[in-house]
Amino acid sequence: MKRILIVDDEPDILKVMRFRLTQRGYEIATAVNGQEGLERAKEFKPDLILADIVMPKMKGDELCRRIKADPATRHMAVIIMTASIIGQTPEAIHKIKADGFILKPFEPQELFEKIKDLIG
Amino acid sequence: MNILIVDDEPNARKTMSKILKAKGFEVREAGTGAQAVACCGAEFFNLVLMDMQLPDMNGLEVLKRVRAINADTISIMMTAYASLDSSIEAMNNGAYSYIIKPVNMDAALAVIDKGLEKQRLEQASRQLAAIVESSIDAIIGASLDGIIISWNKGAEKLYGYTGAEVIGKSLTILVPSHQSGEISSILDRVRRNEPIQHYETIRQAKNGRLVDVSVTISPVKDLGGRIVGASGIVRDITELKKQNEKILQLSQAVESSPASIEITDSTGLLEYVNPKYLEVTGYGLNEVIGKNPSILKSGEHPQEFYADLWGTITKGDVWKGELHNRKKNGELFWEAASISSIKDPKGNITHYVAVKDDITDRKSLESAYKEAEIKIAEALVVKSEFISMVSHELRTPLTIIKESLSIVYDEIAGPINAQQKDFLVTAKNNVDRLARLINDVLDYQKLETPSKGFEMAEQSINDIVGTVGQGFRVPLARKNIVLNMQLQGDLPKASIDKDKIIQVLTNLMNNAMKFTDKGTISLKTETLGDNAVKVSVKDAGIGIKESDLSKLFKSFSQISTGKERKTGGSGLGLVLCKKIIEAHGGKIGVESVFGQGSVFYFVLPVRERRL
Repeated sequence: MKRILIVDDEPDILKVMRFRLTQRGYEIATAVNGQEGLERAKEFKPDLILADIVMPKMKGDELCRRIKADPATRHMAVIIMTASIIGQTPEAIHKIKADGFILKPFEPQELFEKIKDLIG
Repeated sequence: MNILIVDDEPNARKTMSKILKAKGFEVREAGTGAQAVACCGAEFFNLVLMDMQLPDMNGLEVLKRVRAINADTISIMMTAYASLDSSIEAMNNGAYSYIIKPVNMDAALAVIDKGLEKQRLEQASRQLAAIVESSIDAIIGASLDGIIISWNKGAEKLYGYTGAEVIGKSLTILVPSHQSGEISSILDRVRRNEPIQHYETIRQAKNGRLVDVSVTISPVKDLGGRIVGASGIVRDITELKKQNEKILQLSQAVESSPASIEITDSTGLLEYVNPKYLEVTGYGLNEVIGKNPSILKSGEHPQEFYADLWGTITKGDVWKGELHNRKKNGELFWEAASISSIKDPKGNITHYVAVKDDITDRKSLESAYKEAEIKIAEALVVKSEFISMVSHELRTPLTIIKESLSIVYDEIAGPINAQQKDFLVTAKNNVDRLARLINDVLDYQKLETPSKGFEMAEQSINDIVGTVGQGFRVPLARKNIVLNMQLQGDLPKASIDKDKIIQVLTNLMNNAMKFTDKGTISLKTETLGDNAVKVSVKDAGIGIKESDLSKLFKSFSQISTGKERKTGGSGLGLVLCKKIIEAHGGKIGVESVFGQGSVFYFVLPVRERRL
């Protein structure tokens, strides 16, 4: 079973995403900020991380940068999921080496396809 | 004084010559009439003493010839006989006097002195006459009853009358009728021996022209000291008066000028300031005259500023600029000044003139305006940050709502009935509508922020239109709407921001689809003249009322139609389109007949036609 780590400071986002993706057949773990996300990633070893950007303690882009900088975690796919489009240029996404980007709110289908493309 | 002695007796000549030389005269001698005439031809003699009896010529004949050469020479005849006849004849022919031979030298000297005195007087009076005659002023002599006695060239020129025309006539002909009493009162004053000096009045010339004159009149007395007449000197001051009036006008203009005016001498010391200068600066006249204009210096300008000012005006150029000066009470004020030099005919600077306007009010407005501009810019940044923050905060709950609705709708959390499903669709549509609204507000915000530049590149309009059209094929087919593409083959490229133009065209296509239930939507490209391309979207909707056309491109003004409500929109879509197209230097517009559909179009400039 493929594993997905969802990192978001909104408990309701975590709740609906966990339900949705569990139904799709993924094993889910969650974290409420970048710092916790980084720790969970190391122990949970997800195939894909779905990360919000604006979070306390550590932001999603920083989380992504660290995941991609660590040889132990850099194989994990990262999709940045944000409500803020300011500053989210393709260049900025590329710079933090994220594998995908999706703007909230999104069509569930769109997200499923992105995940499927990355980890099947 | 030189004297010629004409006598055929050498001894008599010698005797007289000796005595006259002793008296200081220069003396020449001639023994014959012919010699005498030759001498007079060679030089001027003040006086000739001439014997009536000469061997070669009668003395009378010699007299005539000598006088023919110069009548100013005084001729005194010497005759041995007290012949009354010849003496009288000589006198009649211009001789001054005669003396009897043998000559009594004392008596002769007395006659000679008197003759020379007469000559001197004659000369003096002739000089005076010449002065009178050559004067540019009119010099007129009159009797006490106002009859003109003398009339010089200047009078002729001023009045236009010749001497012959006026001598013997009354002075009143020279005075305009409304001043006719003037002459008698002047003559009264003359009778009382009162001189009149530089009296300004008006005289009338022969041709009727009125002349401004300045008159000086003195009484004329006879030898007994009685006043017998008047002499007047009349000067034409018409031009002078005109110039004076002009100067007066100019000085009044300067005095009452709403601008401060200061005049300095060539060393920069104040010679004049006008009342406005005093009003503005608060100084009194005697506090500034003789001072340097730098009394107003505030210290707000660097030294180089004044060096530049002086460098400019001492070169003879005009300096223009704004001066921050200080009033007497210490208050600072701004003046817009223009300073120039006044030069004499040789080109040397004699004065400097400064004309200055108080622009303190304008300056404070300017700085208030600048402050306001900064505040507006700050407010725009705050607004932009606020909108970004709000949109982010709105998106997060929307994501949760949307996701929750989808979970229920997709029956992942258990089965639901058809009616429940229908309401969930309604809810989902409105979540989407809110999301679109947030996007539009953000887009609008981005366009209002000046720093967000466009990324311009040469693009094929047909490619863009083709791509957008292609994207609409499926949704249009779902509504059974036909898409008709008419792309002009040789369309030139245009310099545009591709993403922005796609946004505009997508917006126009969305609108067209929204308002068309059946029929055809046409997407068309064409050239417009040599330097523009036009893209138009024609729908088959209900069209737009003429009264609504002008509202279309205004912020937040939605036209109220049933369709609009059903489909939802932020009211910002067309405003965004307009901003984008105008940022490209283009134009957006609509043509519509109510009930017959609408054509939305935009025109973009192109540099040159592709060959």
